[in-house]
Amino acid sequence: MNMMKRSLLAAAALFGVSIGVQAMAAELAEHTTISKDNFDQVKDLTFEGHRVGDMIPEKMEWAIREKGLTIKVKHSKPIEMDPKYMKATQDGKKDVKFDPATRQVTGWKAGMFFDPQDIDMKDPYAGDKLIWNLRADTYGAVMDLRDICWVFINGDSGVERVQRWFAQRYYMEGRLDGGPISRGDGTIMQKTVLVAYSPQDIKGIGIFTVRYNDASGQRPDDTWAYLRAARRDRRLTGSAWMDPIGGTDQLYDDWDIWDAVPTKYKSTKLVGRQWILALANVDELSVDKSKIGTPEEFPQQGLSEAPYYFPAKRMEWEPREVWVIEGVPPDEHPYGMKKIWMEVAWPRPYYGEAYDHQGKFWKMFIFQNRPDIGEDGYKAIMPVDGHIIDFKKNHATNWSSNMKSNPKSVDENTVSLKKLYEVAQ
Amino acid sequence: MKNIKHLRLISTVATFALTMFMSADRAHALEWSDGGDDSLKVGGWVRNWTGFNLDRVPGSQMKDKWWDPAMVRNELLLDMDAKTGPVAWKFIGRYDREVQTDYLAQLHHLTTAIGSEFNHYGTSISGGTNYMDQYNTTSFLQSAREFYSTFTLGDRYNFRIGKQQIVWGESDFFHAMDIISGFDYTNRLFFENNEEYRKPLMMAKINIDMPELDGNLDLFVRPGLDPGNSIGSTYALNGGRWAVTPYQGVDFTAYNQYNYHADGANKNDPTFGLRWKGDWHEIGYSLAYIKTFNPDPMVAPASTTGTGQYLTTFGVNQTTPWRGKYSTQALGDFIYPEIEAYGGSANYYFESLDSVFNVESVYVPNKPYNYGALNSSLPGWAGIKGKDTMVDMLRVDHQVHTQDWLGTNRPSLSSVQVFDTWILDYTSKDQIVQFFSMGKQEQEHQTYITYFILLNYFGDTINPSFVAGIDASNGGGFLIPAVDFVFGDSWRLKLEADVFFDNNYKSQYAYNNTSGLKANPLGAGPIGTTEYQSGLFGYFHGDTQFVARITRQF
Repeated sequence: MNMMKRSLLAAAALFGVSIGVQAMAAELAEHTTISKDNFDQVKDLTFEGHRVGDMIPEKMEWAIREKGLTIKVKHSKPIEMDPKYMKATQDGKKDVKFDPATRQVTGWKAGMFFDPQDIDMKDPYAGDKLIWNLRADTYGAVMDLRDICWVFINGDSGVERVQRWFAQRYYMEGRLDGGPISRGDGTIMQKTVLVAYSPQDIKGIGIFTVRYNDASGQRPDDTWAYLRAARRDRRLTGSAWMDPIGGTDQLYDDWDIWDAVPTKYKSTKLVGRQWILALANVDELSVDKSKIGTPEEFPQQGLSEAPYYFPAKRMEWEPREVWVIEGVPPDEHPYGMKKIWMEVAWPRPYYGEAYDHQGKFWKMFIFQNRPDIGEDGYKAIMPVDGHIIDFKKNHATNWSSNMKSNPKSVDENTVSLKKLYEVAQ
Repeated sequence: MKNIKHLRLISTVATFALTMFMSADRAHALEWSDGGDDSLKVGGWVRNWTGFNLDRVPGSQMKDKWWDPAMVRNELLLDMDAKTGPVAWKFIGRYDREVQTDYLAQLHHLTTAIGSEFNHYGTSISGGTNYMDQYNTTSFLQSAREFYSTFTLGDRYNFRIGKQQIVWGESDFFHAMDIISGFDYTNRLFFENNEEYRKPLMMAKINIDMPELDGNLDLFVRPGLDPGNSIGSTYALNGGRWAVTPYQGVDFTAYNQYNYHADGANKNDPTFGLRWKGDWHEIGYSLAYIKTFNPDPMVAPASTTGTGQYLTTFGVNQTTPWRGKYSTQALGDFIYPEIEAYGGSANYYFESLDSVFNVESVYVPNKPYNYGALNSSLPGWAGIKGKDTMVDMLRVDHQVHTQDWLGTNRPSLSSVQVFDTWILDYTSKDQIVQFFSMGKQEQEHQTYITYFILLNYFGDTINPSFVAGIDASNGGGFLIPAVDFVFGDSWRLKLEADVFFDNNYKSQYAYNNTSGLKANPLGAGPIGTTEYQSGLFGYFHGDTQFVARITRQF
């Protein structure tokens, strides 16, 4: 073989090796399931141009390696928040003011409190501003938590019990349904009705909550419980925001991963902006009432697959760009620190972690989300399944709902204590 | 490599497109709503209570051992909901059946013996003639606890028509404004939810929403279609399990029956009420008027001459007729006089104390009380007189943070309540008694103080509770430690002790083994000694018990 031919062959070999190397660092195949069996093989691959390992937070990786979490990847799908919401954000910029001294916000009417495009990573109050944005939810003016169920799960044995509820939340502020942006006298932010209908011993228990439009976040919610066994309501104390919701693993503060306004926390901090794998475009059917009493009643939860509390293995996660925010609650709060990963473009949490006061990892929050077209055409984005996993107890409370935005025939008087009496039979 | 990459790309695009297509198709196919669900939903339970007496109940001879169950009760409950268009339907049916335990057999023997002496055996509360009929469901009407329809007209008007329970007021354990219905105290007492033993009535109710006034108006009318034994509260006057001490085994209904058609106490007379409930500056409040029946039965006595001669046997020498008319029964009628009540309530959350304060006040003009004959064996049987009465309640609810020091999984609801009945123009000369046949005179103020705390462990699957109460006016009280267990969706277990303590109680005579009877010094049989001290908790002397309740719900 002459020299030229050898050179060509060598070059071809090198080229082939080069091609091979590029192929190894190339895209992870869509629909690949990342598990403890292949994590080390795939972590350095890319997916949509992002390193796979960088899109999996440390504790999520631990859950994959140690707890059986699997992540099936799919390509991201564009999500559009309603144009009215985005326009209201821009229109409100001139009026919304953040006071660094009090960490409170004034002047907000609708849309996001703060345009994410204006968030500066170096701003010491960026965390506060993004958590304020969580008050400008993406659900629409009325949140119909249709068929909402809580599933109590033991990590060893599976489903312990299921509670089935009816719930609606009516937002009195920031309304973009074509009517007035604000309802009432401006003192109330939102009203929520929750009524249990299964199992029999909780049937007819109802809760009505009023959250006030208080910039300081200090005014507690007003809550009434209706007890069907007593056939009357009872007003409850208002300090519940740090407390567990009933016997669940979820605090009231864990509603949508982070429910408290920033001023209730000692501090918040924007610690990063990154891409993670998230459940952002899941199916519409979260509760299949035709399969009640079986694991298939909740098709997006992995109730048949140990450890039973993660999303179903068939669920597909996609890359989403997120803010990463840490918060330090008050000393009397059960958590020492909470961390949240939420969509950059609008306030939609995907993933969260809670740590105890000794800094030990305690709970994981995985929320499945999807876009929804409200009954009035409003383009909402809402959580439809939530996984609140207490790793200390190896126990979880998952919730699922066929959530709907802006259902018809719901007005501010529909979500009321009176409604509670009517529904809680 | 190149071919594989190309195929992967095609596959990716195809999958993406397919996913989009499928998602779109699925989104369209699943755009459903479950509004207007017209299906029938049925739930309920099968339940058993087994109760054990932990004390000697006077008069029962108590040959039983402490581990012999005094009560074995079984229940099937069906709770049905249906919707037909805009109308929602509700049916709650309950079928109860008890085993006649040795203890009940002893009570039965005692009752029969006393009845035999007077050649008359009273019928049971349910109208049957079998001793166990008082504990068992004996008719369909009795089993149909509630059945009603609910519908709305427009945005404001909500109607509910049928046999139902309506509860107004805010008091726990005692009843200030919660007097629309009576309660059945023959089978159970403290340890059940009020819903289980409140007596539903045939009523029509309308709620009118007035958001512009921050409130709503409730109106109800009971037209008078209910059977007689549905009105007022029913006590074990036939000497059954929950008869007041010392009258276990003493069947008062052998001597007199309930009269549901007396003048001013006629079950056919409509009763009604209206209540305004609203919010004012974060204070929840209500104002109400109710025309109803007195919750407790009153004795309308017979004359002390003619058919009423038995009264003198018991030392009752003078009686006053009810509304000018004497009872024609041996001793008198049990009646439920009609009353009016004007009441209000308020609640407020004090953030600085993290506590909710509740108050309730009810004014009952001319409230009926039995009076007189205090030196007899039948105090209060001289007649009925009316006294203007105020019933007041003050309660504070607080969430105690028991997570650290008691290890609960969440804060614990605790509550302390003061409940007072005040006779406005009181004078001891009226000789008003607390309850007929009991010698304790009513006082100007009768005050009860209660406390409870509810604890939750292991995700609300083990739920201990503790309830305590005292009679601050007369002494005595109760303790109810209990624990509820939750097993999955279907099984529930409750273990509870009901402990009663008292300063004074009315004593029963000792029985000899042959006849079971000992002559009353007054010569009229075992109607008890004369005494003046037994208050409410003296009535429960010897009733301390332990109860296990197991439920399979569906």
